[in-house]
This record gives sequence, structure tokens and C-alpha cells, in this order.
Amino acid sequence: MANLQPREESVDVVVIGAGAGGGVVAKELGEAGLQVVVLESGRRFAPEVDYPTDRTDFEIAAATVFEAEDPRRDVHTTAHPFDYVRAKGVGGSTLRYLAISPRFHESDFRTRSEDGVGDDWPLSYADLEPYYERVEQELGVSGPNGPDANPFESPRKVPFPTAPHPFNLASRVIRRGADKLGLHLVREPVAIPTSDWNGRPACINAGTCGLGCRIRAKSSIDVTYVPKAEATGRVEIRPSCTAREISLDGRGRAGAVIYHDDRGAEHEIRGRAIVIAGNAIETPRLLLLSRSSAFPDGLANSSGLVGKYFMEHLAVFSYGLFDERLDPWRGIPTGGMLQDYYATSRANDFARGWTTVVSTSSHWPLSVARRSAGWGAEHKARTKRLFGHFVGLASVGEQLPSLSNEVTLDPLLTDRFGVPVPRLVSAPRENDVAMVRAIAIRQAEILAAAGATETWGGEYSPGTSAHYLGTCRMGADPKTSVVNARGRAHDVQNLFVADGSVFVTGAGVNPALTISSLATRTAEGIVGAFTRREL
Amino acid sequence: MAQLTFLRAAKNPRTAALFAKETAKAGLDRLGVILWSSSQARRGELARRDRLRAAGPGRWFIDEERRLVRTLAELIVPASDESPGAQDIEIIEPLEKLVAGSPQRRVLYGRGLLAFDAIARHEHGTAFADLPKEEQTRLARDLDRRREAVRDRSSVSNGVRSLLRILRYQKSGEYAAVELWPTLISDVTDVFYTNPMSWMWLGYDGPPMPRGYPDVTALTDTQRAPQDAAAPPKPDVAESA
Repeated sequence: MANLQPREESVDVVVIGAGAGGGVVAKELGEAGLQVVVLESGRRFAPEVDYPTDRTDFEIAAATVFEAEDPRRDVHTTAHPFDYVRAKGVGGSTLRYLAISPRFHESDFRTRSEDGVGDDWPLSYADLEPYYERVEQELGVSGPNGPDANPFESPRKVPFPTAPHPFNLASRVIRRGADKLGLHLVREPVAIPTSDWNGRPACINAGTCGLGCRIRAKSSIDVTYVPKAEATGRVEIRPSCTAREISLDGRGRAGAVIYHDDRGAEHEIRGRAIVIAGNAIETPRLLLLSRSSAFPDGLANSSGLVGKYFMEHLAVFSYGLFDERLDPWRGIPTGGMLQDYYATSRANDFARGWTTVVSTSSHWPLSVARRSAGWGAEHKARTKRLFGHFVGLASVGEQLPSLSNEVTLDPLLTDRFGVPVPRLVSAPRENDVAMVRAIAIRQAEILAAAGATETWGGEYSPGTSAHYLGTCRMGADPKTSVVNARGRAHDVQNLFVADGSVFVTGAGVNPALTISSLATRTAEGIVGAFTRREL
Repeated sequence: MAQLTFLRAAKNPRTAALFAKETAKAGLDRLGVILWSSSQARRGELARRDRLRAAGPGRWFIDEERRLVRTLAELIVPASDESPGAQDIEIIEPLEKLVAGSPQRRVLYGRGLLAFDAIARHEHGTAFADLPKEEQTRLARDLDRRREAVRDRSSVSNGVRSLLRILRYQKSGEYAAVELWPTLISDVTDVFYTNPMSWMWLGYDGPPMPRGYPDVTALTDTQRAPQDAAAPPKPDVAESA
């Protein structure tokens, strides 16, 4: 506190994080008439300037855009092998996500009731459906309707806002295999409009979504919700500001956020409500850092569950080599989805299931050359053989919540501000291991049926899903959950969580759309609480 | 401060192990520098080269280093009758820019290139670039094997053997080549496969922006590759400082 600046500020709501959760909350609150400041630890990116995907060396130049300028920013420790993948900046992880945006299935909200595993959510698919619809409209999600729709999709009241992307040659080859096996490869919903949307251009199939979209066609939060939030004149985004503690006021409520600017100076800002949306690692870290006599184990942690039930998705990748030319780099980085293995099957030795997408990401020359070790004529020949001739399958399996998997504070290491870094404990448990085995077998079957002459992969790569969930789970009972169904902390009535931390279970689909939908619902609850003068 | 950190670390077996590992690595690095510097000839030759280095943005290699880097690059990406190789593109300028802009690479390349020639002179009495291609390839494969050997920590005894090998290679000076070789492979690969010459050989019609791909089912039009690409920016003075 010695470095605390004399400036004292107060707003209606302080939001921490400007990604799929915080960016959405900020826009909704601003439009409802509330004064909001958003603290974002990363910087703001200018797509036309910062994403050099028009250069011949784009695979090198664009690959490091989202890396921390100061490597001490993202220090963390792990108990098991775990690759912590993230992007910090205005837009959060949506800056580099591939925008795959399926809804959860109805069963995802009641895994305990249906399958005897995990826990039920305190809300149902029907409760969330209107919010899914709103977010899909904001993002211009493209997807198949009518006869081409996903037969496993949850009920939806309105069609997707924009038409589905076309299949490229690589996707057609995989569909050939899926058809042979009686599987249903459909176009996956993606937050990448195929027609002009809200002043942004339609996708031009450049396939650089993971490197940042230079033309703003991909619906990342920085080009969708954030401009709308700022247009209200009531939302201020503060990049390069990292929250380090939430302090209490005299009434035991969350009073202020203490944060560092990029020069390391400390500031304090008061809010009548505080919303944390840092992701499922940074959010529990901040709560655990915010200790007081009222909350000696961390803010809003009377349940002892802050940081517990850390989940990710079981990311498994397989690849197949084909004699025919596929040119997979044409089009968005994913090329179709199948959910035939999503539901729990009694024939399996595990519960729950997964989604598989066709992966056409990073098939450019250097990326392909780097896939093979070595040098010389042999390496060149292998690169030539692979280039344009292979395609991937990427699956995200549902990792069940386990009390053993958690985010804590490292007892020794600190970041550039001297703040303890997060320590990640994440290991696949019995159900997860059995599911990974099954995913690899099914992926190999599909590739073989499609005519692959060589296949490889099939391993689980911990952390690479970049889908980090749990750690502040929602629930009706304050003893077994951290927040309620609106993301409001049981222990602190003006504190809210609006990111993947609140997930009770992880489902088997990419989580961004659900995070934003839950955040929309949480924002609605905050507005209601202000209206009722609770805040 | 270090003492305080050690005391804190010692209370926790996991952090104590981490601390010990980091301390050992730092000690090994320092010992490596001492062993490398034990040769007056090596120190003198490096100082001579440093005096000859070109000034200016993006420039760093001396003439004999340029010749050696070109030779090594042509081993890494050889040309054939049907395909281009490093000899067919401008390889030195982008590599030199990369090295000039990175203090770590300047150390790695400076010592590593010296070591390549030292190995060649020790075994054949001539500079690496003057050896027959077959012999250059053999020496490079040797470096691959040495690299694998020093990375083998699969058991305690292998770990000890690895440590002793590193110290021996440090003393002889060849460890600098063992260290440089994988970085050089990576750097040359980066340069070659981001050059439109390799794109035409592979059949890639990039870069992705600004045109994208109006027809995702078409096969490659290799004629589009070089025209639309924006050139990488020129190095600025600060980068080469």
C-alpha cells in the first residue's frame, strides 16, 4: 500500500477483465445506465496494425502478438504437466479463439441426475436459452439450419443469425469418412459471420482466426461488445491494469479494487458492485489474495471451494495423411463438427462424452515444416509430402469435476508486482483417462474410413484446450458453492463472478458462448439489484 | 536475498527442489562459461571477430561467418533438381537481422560458429565450409547425436553422464556448436518456409490476408503467392543496438 496513489474514485460497477464475461457485462450494464470501469490486465490491440497476417513471414510475426511483453506477467506453477494457454488484452481469450460457439446440451446442466457424476447446475438449459439467443445475435453466429442442422443440438427458438460456412476439400474428405460410419458431420456454429454484421465485414475465409482477425470479421469481444459498451459513454476500459486485491468496506461488503497500472503504481477504485471475470485461474487467485479478518481464507470463501474443482477440456488431436490434395488452409480453422459421441453411453466404461471438430488450423508452409523434426533432404521430402495433404480431428472431452484439481496460490513465486502466482493442480482422473482412450480410437476410425494412408496423434495434451473452468462454482447451497445461479457471491452480496469459473461441470463443447450467455444473465441480475436498491 | 529465498524454499520440499534445480542450472551455466573461456586462443579469436563486425542496422556477421552460415543453411535446406533450397533465396540477410536484434543469439552464434570451424580444423585441418559435403553432413549428424546424449536424463546415471559430457564439451569448445545447431536449424527453416520461393514449390497461395479465399474448394493458384505479400519491415536502429 506504500505506493498507493492519492486518487480516489468511485463508480457504480468495477469489472475486472474484458473478455467473454467481463466485456459482455460491461456493455449490458452501460446500456442499462450504470457507470462502469473495466480493469484489463492486457493491452488493447488494433487489428489492422497489430495482426500482420498479410506478410510473408506472418507465421512468425503474428504468432507472438499475444505473448506477454514482460514474461513475468504470466508466471505460474503446475503440479503436473499443464500448458497454460491464454491471451490477455481487451477481448481476453476471444482475441485468439477460433470462435467455435455451440450451445450446451440440456443434459449438461444435470449430469448428477442423469448420469450420477459431477453435479447439477442451479439452472436449466431453458433458463439460459434466451441469453444464448441474445449473444448469438450480438456475435452474428453462423450455423446450419433446417435439414443441415446438427441432429444432436439443443432446442433453439430462432435460426442462426448468419448462414453456415462452406466445407472446404479437407472437410469433405472427413465427411466422406463420417458418412461411411453413419456419423453426422455438420457445420459447427462459429462466431464468424458469413455476411456483413453490425458494421463489420463478412468473413473472407483467410483462416487466421487464431492469429487475430485483421479485418474484424471474427466476433471477438473487442470488436463486438466493447465498442458498444464504450458507445454508451458510461463504460471506461482501462488496459494494462491488473487487480491485486478486493478490499472490504465498513459493512463487510466488497468496497474497492486495488490494482497496478503498467508502471507498477497502485491505485484504488471503489464500486457499489464488483464483478470479477479474469478466467477460472485469475479469478480464484484474486479472491484468495483478498484476505481479511472476515475472510481469512480468501474473499467469498466460507465454503472453502474457491479454487476447487478446476476443470479443462480433454483436448485430443489426431491427424490423417491423404493421397489427394486438400489445401486445408482455405477457410476458417475448423471445418465441421460431430456430436455422435456426446451423450453418456452404457456401452462405455466412462460417463459423458465429447465433441469432435475437423481441424484445418495452421496448415501453412512453416507450420507444416515445423511438424517434423530434423533437417536436410529427408526433412524437405517429409514437408512436401505433408503439405496440403493432411487434416486433423480435434476433440474436446468433458473432464469431470474433481476436488483434487484446483487453483491455489504458490507459496514461493511471485509475479512482477510481487504478488503470489497461481499454482495449477490438474490431472486427468479415472473417467477422464477412459474417455481419452475412447476419443483416440474414434478419431482413428473416422480418419481410416475417410481414406487416410497414415494417421498419428491421439494423445491428450493437458492445458491445450485453453478452456479453463470451475473454481468458483455456482449453486443454491452456500456450503457447496461460491456463487448463486446469477453469479452473485453467497458471502458478499455486491460481489459477482462472470466467467468460466462459475461452471459446475464443463460439458463437452467450447465454452465461450456459454460464458457470455451466463454473463448476460448475471448483468441482468445486477441491473435488477440496482433497481431494487440492493446495491 | 538469495539466502532468504533459500530459507523460505527449504521449508517446502517441492520449492526446495525447484530452488536447487535452478541453482544447479545457474552454476552449470557459469562453470560452462569458465571452461569455455579457459582457452586463450578461443577468447582471442572471438575478440578478433568482434572487432571486425560490421556496424549498421541488421548487420552482424563477418565475412567468414557469412560463408559458414550459408554453407550450414544449404545443409539444412538443400536444393535438388526438382526443388529450391537455401541457395536459391536470400538467406543471410534475414538471419543476420535476427542475430543482430537478439543479445542471446549474438552469444550463441558468435561462439557456435567459432566452434564449427574449430571442430573442422581439429579433425580435418580446414574450415568447415571447405570440407566436402559428405564430411559436413557427417559432422552435423555427430552434433545431433551429441545433442541427444546431453539431453538424456532418463536415469540418475544418464543424468550424471550428461553432466560430465557437457563439461567435457564445454572445455573442448564444441558445446557451443552443439547448442547452436538446433537454433540454426530452426532459424533457417523459418526463413526458407516464409519465402515465396518455397511456397511456389509447395503449392501455397498465401499470405492469407488481405484477400482471403473466395472459393474454399479451389486448389492452389501458385501465381498469386509473391505479388500480394507485404514485405517484413526493415530493421530499425534500435533493433540492432
